[in-house]
Amino acid sequence: MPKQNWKEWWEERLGLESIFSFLRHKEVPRHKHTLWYYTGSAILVFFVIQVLTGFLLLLYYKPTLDEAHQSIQRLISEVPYGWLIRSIHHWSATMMIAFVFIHLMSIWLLKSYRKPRELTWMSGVFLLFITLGFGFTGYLLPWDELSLAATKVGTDIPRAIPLVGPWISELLRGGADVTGETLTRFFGLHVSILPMLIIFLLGFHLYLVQKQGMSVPFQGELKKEKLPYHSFWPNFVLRESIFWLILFGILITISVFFPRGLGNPADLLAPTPPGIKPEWYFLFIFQTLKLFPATILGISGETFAILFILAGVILFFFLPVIDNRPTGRKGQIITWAGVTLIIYALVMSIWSLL
Amino acid sequence: MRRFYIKKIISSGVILAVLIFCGSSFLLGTSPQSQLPKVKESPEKIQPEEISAGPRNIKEKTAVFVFLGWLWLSILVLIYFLQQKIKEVDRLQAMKFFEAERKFKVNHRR
Repeated sequence: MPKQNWKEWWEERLGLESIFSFLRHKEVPRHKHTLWYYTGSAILVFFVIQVLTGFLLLLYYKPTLDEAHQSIQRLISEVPYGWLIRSIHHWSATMMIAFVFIHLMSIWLLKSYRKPRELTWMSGVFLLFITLGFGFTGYLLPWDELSLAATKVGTDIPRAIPLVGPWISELLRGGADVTGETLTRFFGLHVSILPMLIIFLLGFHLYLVQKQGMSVPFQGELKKEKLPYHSFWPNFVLRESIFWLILFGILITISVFFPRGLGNPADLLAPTPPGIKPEWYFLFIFQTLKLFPATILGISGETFAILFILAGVILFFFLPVIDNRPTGRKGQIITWAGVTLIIYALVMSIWSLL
Repeated sequence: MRRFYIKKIISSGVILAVLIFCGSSFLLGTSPQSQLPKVKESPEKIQPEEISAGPRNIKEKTAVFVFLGWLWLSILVLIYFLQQKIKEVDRLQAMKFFEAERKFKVNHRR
């Protein structure tokens, strides 16, 4: 069949031309902050890499108390290039979380969440928590000393929440303590529940991004002048592809030179060793928790800290509603609050590492 | 000016590829003992990386670093082609080619 006929055959059945036509007419504003638009698609690239390498890891991983550690050990020491696939999975997760933070903070500082993009921000915040959930649940799966200890600490934190805290902790652990039940639950969350949630929310988030279009910088909108633009397809996508290629190269290089090792098998009877630290993306929260005294106004310091962090999370989620007048003084204060949060998170993380 | 940047990217890519190959030869020369599990120093102190990961033998090491070299070379070549393509589509957009194409298709269907 000639090439033209093939094209028509597919077009009749899939109607892809209407999608390309839509994407060709979608405009991406050109300005000095255009670079920040690339962070969203970078997250998507890392997510795809996570899914693909995750499938490969699933072929060898066994989520049971006896076999979890052994299967990972076998993967990195016997399976050809198994260590590389695991390393790519680990570093891709790290880079994905880093880009989620960068993406959200760039939106905060550019005030891209303003009307009518409130729901885009809120779905983005949900996506941040699901991504962190992936990191937290995936950390336990190798079932080594470090992952067990970190999970013990991590699942113990919700206990400080009044009323529902102990219930949340037991729900996560599948009992009073971290056991094989926890491993099964975390595995289920990591490969089934969280992927379903992320696909649903990602679809909703992307739909909103397509519907509302790309946000222009705040100052540009005030001047009410039309900025020059690129067509999304193919002009912008081609530019993004260069960024994806560079990120992919960096990811593979890091994965080769800094492969992820494996600790000793976890011992359920061993006490939690001192000096345990979570992954880098939880460090600033971990350090914040440590700053609170044992009791404040008769309430446990830990409970106080958790309530303080929860309040911060709620404010973060409702940011577009709070910042309803971005041009006013309140808007400026909220921008500076964003800058302060970045500095605070960096300082706390470094302090925790020292 | 654009050509200058392309040249700059290609030359830095070549330097990077050379560095990777030199780095790989340096790593190939390391003792195989470093790949073995380390002995626990103290029973109280946690050892986060007991089983180190990485290429298992010289063949796998070589394969990985050659792959890395090829990967970066392919990326640079692809970037060059993508830049050419971007130039072309920007020119077409400036000429409003896609608008004309759409109008033609709509009329053609009618």
